[in-house]
Amino acid sequence: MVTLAFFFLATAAMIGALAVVTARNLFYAALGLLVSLAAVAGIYVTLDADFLALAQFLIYVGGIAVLIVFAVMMTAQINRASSSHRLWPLGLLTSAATLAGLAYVMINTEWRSESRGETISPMVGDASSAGIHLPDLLFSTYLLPFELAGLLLLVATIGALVIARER
Amino acid sequence: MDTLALEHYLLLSAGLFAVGLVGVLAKRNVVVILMSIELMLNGVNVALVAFSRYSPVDELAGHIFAIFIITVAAAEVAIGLAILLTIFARRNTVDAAEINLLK
Repeated sequence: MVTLAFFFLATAAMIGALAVVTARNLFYAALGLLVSLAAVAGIYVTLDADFLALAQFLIYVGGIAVLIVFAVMMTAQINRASSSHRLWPLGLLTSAATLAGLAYVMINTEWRSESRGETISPMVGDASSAGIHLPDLLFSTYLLPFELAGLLLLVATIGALVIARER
Repeated sequence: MDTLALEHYLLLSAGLFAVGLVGVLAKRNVVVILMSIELMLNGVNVALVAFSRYSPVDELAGHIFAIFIITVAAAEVAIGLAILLTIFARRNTVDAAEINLLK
């Protein structure tokens, strides 16, 4: 069941991602991004990361995607989305090489949980049953980064307002 | 292919990253480049959460990392689009090849 859901969501994510880089119409590219981000939220559910799935949905699908759609509407050059520059084959080649390298490493690495002789099986609910909760970590071990992230968001908000205001 | 392994998630993550890389390297429209950057960040997040889930140690560090990446991505998109709108208002273009103010 989870396997089926994973392959369905992974396909949707890849199709959406390909739509972003191949769509002729900029609006379709934005829709492809929306599909891809939503599918990745589903992927998080299959990884038992419910909070992240929710955060992904709220922040990416609800916030960032809407922001990008606004940008698409305000910079009305909708038909120029697919234009690539002269050296695009070089970019494709670089990307293909990166993908090949990553895939080679990923498949040929003996991941630790495998090399200890266990089959890799998802630890359903293990993290929470052991008493480790995300908020506990966020407000103790990772408190300083958490506060810094808040500061970063404040700076980004003010910065975006200052940059984009009418002069 | 009967059961899900770490590799499945890692390959999905590498695929999203590579597609995003094509967008960043080959496209001219800055909006598409920003979208592609989001795709790349998402690919990395998938890998981090998958590592966290399949790790032999009970660790949620991957989730924490992913949360901070999402935060930074939100900030990055807000700033990026603000810059983009300003450039569009002044120079009437979103073509990365024509935006050469720093040359």
